[in-house]
Amino acid sequence: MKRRLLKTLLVSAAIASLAPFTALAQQEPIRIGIINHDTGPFATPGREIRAGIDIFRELNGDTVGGRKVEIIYRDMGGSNPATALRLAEELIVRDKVSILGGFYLTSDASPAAAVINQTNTPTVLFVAASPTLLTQSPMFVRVGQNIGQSAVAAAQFALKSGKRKAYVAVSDYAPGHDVQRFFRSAFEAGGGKIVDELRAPLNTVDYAPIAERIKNADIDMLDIFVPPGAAAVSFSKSLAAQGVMKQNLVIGMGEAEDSDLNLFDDSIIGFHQALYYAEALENPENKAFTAALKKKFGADRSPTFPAVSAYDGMGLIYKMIESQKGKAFDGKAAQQAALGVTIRSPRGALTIDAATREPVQDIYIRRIDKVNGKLRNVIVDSFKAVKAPVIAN
Amino acid sequence: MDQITPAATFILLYGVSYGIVLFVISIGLVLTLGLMRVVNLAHGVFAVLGGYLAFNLPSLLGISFIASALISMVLVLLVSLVLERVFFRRLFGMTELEQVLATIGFCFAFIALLTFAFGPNVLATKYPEWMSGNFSLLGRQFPLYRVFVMACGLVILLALWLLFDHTNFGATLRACVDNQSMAKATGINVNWYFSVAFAIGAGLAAIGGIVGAGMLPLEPLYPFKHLPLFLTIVALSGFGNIKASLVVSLVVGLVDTAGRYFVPEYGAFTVFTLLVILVLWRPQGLLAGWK
Repeated sequence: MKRRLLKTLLVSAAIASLAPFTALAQQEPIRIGIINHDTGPFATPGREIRAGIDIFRELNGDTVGGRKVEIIYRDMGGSNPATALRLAEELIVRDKVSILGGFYLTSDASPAAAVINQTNTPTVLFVAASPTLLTQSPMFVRVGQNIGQSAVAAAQFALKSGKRKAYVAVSDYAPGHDVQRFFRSAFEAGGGKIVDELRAPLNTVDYAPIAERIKNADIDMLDIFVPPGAAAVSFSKSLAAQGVMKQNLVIGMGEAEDSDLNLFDDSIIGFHQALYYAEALENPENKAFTAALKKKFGADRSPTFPAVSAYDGMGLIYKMIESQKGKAFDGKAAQQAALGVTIRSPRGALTIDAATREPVQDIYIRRIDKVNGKLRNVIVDSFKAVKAPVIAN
Repeated sequence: MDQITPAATFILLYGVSYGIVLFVISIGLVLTLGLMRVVNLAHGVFAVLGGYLAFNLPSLLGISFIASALISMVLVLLVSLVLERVFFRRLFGMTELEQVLATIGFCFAFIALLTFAFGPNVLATKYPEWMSGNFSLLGRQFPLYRVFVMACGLVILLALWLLFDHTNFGATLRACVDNQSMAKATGINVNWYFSVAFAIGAGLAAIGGIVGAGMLPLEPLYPFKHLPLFLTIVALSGFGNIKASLVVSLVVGLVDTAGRYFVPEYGAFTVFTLLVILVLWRPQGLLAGWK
């Protein structure tokens, strides 16, 4: 009898001690792997991506769908496809993350496609913008932009402004080639003529000869795409020195965002940019985002498109987690839940196209002007609900 | 013809001003290599340091740009004297590989320091108003800045010519370059001359960095990014040959500018193709043996 009682006691004790475990299993944190650049040549946008994630968690908490969200960061340290694959493998296999995010460069994402496809890991591309990237994996979803969206908007704005003779000058690397292709096809489709085009090597230091060449062409507009930083500063100064900036419509993409304008002098005034985010947007989400950013990082900090992309990327990831509330996490189902959703983003409404997994969003045309004695990007036009364009290679 | 003249004037004006900046920055490297056979891959550090000082001092101290440029040059000169004592002097007599590793390491450390202090971006550089205007030449507009660069180059050339060809100091220095052991045997303190030449080279690099900021933007990566250009000048000049380095700098400036103008896609290749051809043709330097 005594023995029996002991047994019952033991069993009930065992069951009792198990109970909290089953409860815990539902509450177990979910892990997100972020492949980002903390060091190396892309550390500046990498810092912005981290800021966007931080602000999202500050405003939206670190729990969703009843589960705590843990973020594991991995550093690319530069453009390196082999590292991208290794980091994705480690995050999925060893750290058991349920969703991947980050991806500033196209070459951060495409090598990881193999392991992502095998494990059905939903992957949110924050910034990587190559038009063909989404064909690499059915698990990829993009929240930044397809680079064609801004390039086509730039062409349409130029046509709308009555420009018909264009020069296209891009940096000689894949995104530059993409911009060139999209701009050309949209501009020609609208009745414009590409007078001449050139690809400047990425290591170009003195842009004066290139600006001189452009100046000597019979054009009324110039479309450019060069990386922000030294190249953008040097190119824009050369264009201004040759009078190209004043005599033509010069339109770029992200060469002189507000956060970089302290690098430029007044000769940049009049430069146009087409992009999916503008600091000057007046919507409540952007106001809240900007206020939180300035509160956390200081009044000097300006919001940037990588930060907003990361913010929205986290928004989409939270929606994926929420869809799996109370269930065992299913990657495919979570990704399906993200398709077709609309996020109220600091950039305006952002919808994930259910068919293409591309973002559908407004593209803003900004012009640099002096506002209260300071250089600012002022919104002069916008194109509503722009879809990712499709053109043949 | 009316198309060739503007293109030719453009290439001449821009190529020569670009070449002069390369010359002013590289001359110190040519000297140290000729004098001490020290391969100083960190030479660009002095140029970028001069630039960062010159464009930051005016707002800090409330002085004019010219004053700031001169002060920066003197500061870099002093810094280089100290660095020469504590660091570069130890490299004499090491093997070339050791020198290369030590100086490139120094270069990276300095890049990290600049990034830490000023961030990874380019430094916003604004020249004074009087330098940012335009002037007309042969029916078109050219920026005054390029003329200012050429004027600076002329002054520096004149000063160097007087110093090297018309003073005892210059004669002794040339003696040290041509035959160091003989110079030592006649009682010349070669080490002292080296220190002075090193400091002059660093000061000139600083001027190059300041004046050339409109062509070579100031950023932390500067000393590493433009190293191939500086080394091209040195390789084509031969050991310690100042006149050759002037000619080489102008040729490189002109070829690079013309290349970027006519074939922008291959802009980076033209100057290095030139390097390959010239090194195969005249491995001792472009003007070797020419006095």
